[in-house]
Amino acid sequence: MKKTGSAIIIFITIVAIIVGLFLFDSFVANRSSQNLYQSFTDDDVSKSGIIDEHGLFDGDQSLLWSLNNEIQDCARKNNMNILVFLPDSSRSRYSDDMVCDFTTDKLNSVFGENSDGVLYYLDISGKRPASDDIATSARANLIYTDSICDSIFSLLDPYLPSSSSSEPLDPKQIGEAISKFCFYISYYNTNTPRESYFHASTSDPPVYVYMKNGETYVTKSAPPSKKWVVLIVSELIGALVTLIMYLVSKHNYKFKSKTNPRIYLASDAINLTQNADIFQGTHTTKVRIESSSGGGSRGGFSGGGGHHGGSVGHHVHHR
Amino acid sequence: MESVKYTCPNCSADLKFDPQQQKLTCEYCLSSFTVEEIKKLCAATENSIPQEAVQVQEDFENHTHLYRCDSCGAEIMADDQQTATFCYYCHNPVILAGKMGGNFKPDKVIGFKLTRENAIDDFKKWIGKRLFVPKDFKSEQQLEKLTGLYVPFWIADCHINVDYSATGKKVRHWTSGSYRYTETSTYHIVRRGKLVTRGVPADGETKIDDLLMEAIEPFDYNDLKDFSMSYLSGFFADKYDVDKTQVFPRIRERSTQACASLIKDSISGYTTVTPLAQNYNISQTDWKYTMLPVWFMSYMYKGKVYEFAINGQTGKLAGTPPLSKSKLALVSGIIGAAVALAGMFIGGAFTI
Repeated sequence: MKKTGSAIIIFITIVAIIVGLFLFDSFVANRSSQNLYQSFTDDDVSKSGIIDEHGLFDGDQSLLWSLNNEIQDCARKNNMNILVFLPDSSRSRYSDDMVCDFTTDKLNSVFGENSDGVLYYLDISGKRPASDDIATSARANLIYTDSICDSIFSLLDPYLPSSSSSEPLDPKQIGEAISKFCFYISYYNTNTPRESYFHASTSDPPVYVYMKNGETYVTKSAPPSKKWVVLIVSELIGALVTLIMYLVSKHNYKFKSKTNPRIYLASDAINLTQNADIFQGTHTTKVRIESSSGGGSRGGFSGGGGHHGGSVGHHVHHR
Repeated sequence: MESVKYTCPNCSADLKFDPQQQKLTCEYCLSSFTVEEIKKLCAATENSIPQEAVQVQEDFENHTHLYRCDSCGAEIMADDQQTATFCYYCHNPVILAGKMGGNFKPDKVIGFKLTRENAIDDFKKWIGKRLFVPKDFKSEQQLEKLTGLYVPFWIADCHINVDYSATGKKVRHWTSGSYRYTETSTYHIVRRGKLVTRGVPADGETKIDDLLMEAIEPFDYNDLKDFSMSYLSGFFADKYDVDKTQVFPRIRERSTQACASLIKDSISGYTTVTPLAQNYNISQTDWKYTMLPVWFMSYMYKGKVYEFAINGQTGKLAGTPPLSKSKLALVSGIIGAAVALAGMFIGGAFTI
């Protein structure tokens, strides 16, 4: 009877702890900081287009006008700012980090921090190899992930001249690549699932981008889904620590240890008549060391060197 | 059965052995006497131990005996083992002389050095460090149960012939060119001779947990004295119910362990040691039947008895206190919660 009573108390305690933890987790997970997101409006469409620093289209303004229109249509269709930047030869000395820093600053200065946007840095500066970059901001980070951007780069490669080529640049060829870029931006926006969240860890401050109830959020706090995972994993670790500590303490709760009988050995009566280590022989074996080829290393690129505002991610590609 | 008591030569009150002074003292006239003095003054009492105990009245079949208290005349009931106790009525110490005769007369004794107050202080300090004991365990009522008991011990000196041999291997590795070399040197290790273990104790009482007694060792045998019943005055005492032949396996095991430990320490520098022969033969054992001082306490918690012992000479303490599972669960839970909160904090769950 007494045992049944204590079992019920233990059961009720466990249930109360679980319910309490659920309420605590729910409260913590749904608390979020201020939403820094700047949504896209039709008024922003005019900001999208081409910045031709290189002057590639100086001799063909109609093509530039046509491409600008195409980009703005794409921006309107995808509810997202889109900018294509064509650098001049002054940027041919830019490292990948410098390209990323530049595109981040450009994206933020043209469209504002934490607004939906994609900047395509199409490297025609003469740098070898050329460093193309797709910088994504806010919601674009959830769509144009590393793998998607890699696909876009691969799909655009046939339309772009190799950086090792000594041929003069053809504006029509570049224009065709830009048109394809717009097409793939739209294609992947409608045909790929969104990432659950994106963490811009190199931003200042670091922010998370995620969707909740159809809304885009850019916040310093982690998304609820990540918080739930962190909370539950932490609680499981805590529970495990509690259990281990309880069981180990219970097991080690003994304060009776045998006295070492060595203390009873009379040191003045040790009489070893034979105390010898007799060498018997040595043998040596040799084994050939198997040669193994060193594995190559693959490394990804992770953002720019400096810290910037906003929620910008980068995807660099070398041609 | 006869009982004896030591009375003050000055005022005839009962004398009790005082661990602090190592003398027998009178609580009434404050006189004190050394054991040697008392032996002379009470020669008649010391020599009154009959070689064969004469049982005056037998009760409860063979295991319970009645004694007459010399102070108040009350009849005291004691079991087979008790050799010193207290009168239930006048609380004066009673030594059951008949139990100390013949084979049951100890050779040696170490008198209590730790007073009851010292023992209580030691116990309080020790238990103060234990977080998970139930509240009432530290109560004064509990401490009143502390009892001074002379425990019968068999102390053995063993002469051991050692015959140990083993194969030792030293392994060395190195690399040269595209080969890895392994050199193994083999040695025949021999250790033969005689070793002596002195004063290996084993309690001669079945009622007491052997491990508990081993845990409060060692006793300092420099304080060993020839046995006198006067040491027992004011304490409880038992006679042995396990004779030396029965405790010999324990003595042999501990002596062998001591020798094996010495031999093991004498072998070093080998990668592996494979014993071929390990013979530790005891050729001679010298025994002493000794009464050693122990403060005892037992505690009943949730139907289980917990025993504690304090070495009455050195103050070394052993025993496992009851575990308050709720306290342990609470502390474990707090630590687990702290770990969980740290994980949540590091994982960014609280960032806003």
